[in-house]
Amino acid sequence: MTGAPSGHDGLPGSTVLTVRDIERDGVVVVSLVGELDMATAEDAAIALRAATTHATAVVLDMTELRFFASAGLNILLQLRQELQDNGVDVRLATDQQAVLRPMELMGVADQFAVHSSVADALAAARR
Amino acid sequence: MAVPEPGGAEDRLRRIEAVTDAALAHLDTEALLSELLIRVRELLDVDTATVLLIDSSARNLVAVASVGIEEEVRQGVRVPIGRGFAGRVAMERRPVMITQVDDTTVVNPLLWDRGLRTLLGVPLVTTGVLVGVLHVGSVTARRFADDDVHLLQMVADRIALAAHTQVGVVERAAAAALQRSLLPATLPDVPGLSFAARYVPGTDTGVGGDWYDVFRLPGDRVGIVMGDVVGNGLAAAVVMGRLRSALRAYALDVEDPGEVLRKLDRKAQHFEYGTMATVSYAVVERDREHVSIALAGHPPPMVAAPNGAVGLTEPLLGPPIGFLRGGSYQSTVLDLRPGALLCFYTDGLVERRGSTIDAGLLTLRETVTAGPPEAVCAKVMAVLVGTEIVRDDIALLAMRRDPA
Repeated sequence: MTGAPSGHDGLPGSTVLTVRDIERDGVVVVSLVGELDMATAEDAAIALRAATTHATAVVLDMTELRFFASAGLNILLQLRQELQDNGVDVRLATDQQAVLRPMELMGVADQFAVHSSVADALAAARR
Repeated sequence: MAVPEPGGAEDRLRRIEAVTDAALAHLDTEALLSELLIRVRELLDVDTATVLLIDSSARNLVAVASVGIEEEVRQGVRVPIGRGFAGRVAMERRPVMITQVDDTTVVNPLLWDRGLRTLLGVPLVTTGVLVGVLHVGSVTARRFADDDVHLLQMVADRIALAAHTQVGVVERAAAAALQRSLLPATLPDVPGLSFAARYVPGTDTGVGGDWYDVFRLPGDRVGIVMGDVVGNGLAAAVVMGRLRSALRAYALDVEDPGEVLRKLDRKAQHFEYGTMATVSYAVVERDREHVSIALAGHPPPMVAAPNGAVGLTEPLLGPPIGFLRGGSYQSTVLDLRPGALLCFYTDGLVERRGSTIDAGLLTLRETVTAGPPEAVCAKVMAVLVGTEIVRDDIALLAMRRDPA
């Protein structure tokens, strides 16, 4: 990936989830690396909000998310709702079954625009 | 004994010792608060010292302990975060001093009625979380030195930790009591069916929002609920209690499970913003041969036939309760043969870090049989949990139609 890291580099005190954001051509790409569950969801929600406050388009990079439990899905659905209410385009990039399968089991697979890579998500976001 | 020179090293040490005194550790939170406030008042030579904590709405500070202006506590003084003096300290999260105490700087009239002319306030913060404000006041115009501010912040840190710990203990106890009161102590006796259930709180989270419910309905039908409110602790247990009651009320009026979930979703979206819950609601019909089931983001029950075949049922799946606008829920009718068993569960049973849900579901499928529900629950817990420490809470409910 190119672009300079900015802002919220990781979560203090968390060893299992890292949240990083960079901006690429007006699209904020937030990478979630590690495990997003009840233990990390609250901190992740704060970091995601901070990273996306001034965004006009957001790509959630979950290509390296290894564990995704319902608490994580809840914060993403909340974030998506808030961003969409403000007219912000939200896309999700992942090809991980660890992310896709829980979404399918919870009946929300069709709630996100999902792309298999960050590049695809960015291309769609810029269109 | 010589009196230490004010501001000297010896005096500083004396002041620090007064507020870090190991003997204080033996006091309960309330006694600790009042003892620390008495010492602070003396050390800083001020007239009042008050602690305000954030209330459950997270929007107001409420006076909980005070010396020199006890009526603050007795009158339940409440200051919105961001307004007045204490509200400003909470908002800015740093020490604030004011030398003009009137209705332009302070919202609580007790402070200017008391004749205070100088106020110094510091935030109560522990593990990065703001829990309240500590402030001291003087009826003389004065300036506080940096040392005074540091001392007050040191006391504030100690109070914050104690208050935070106490809230944690109280909340966990309340959540556990609530959860116990909301899970059926015994499952109802229903002709033609037998039940068994388990609930285990998560080790990381304590009691969470999982619940199950079995109730008889008019027309000799039987309602079976398995639900999971996302989140943990008292907040999740309270929402769980409300959803449980609402679902029961709708179930009494409406026959179709999908319609019951649609109403529950509407209720949650309107009254419980930010809540997400997964729910499975099934109704066993009077003939016991048919089960109507609707799912809101919840994993489907496993069905075990008396001939040994076991598999996941495949009811239509709607989104979780509470979040997605315009979610639609439809009922699916399943056949229930004599001796067949349905196994309902929450994701805590099958979801583990370092593994996949499908692996958990496969293990469950290999474990469930159409045996007596009590024995099936025991076996499932032994195989899927065993001696493992489980982070998330787990609920499990087995229902068997009596063999022919």
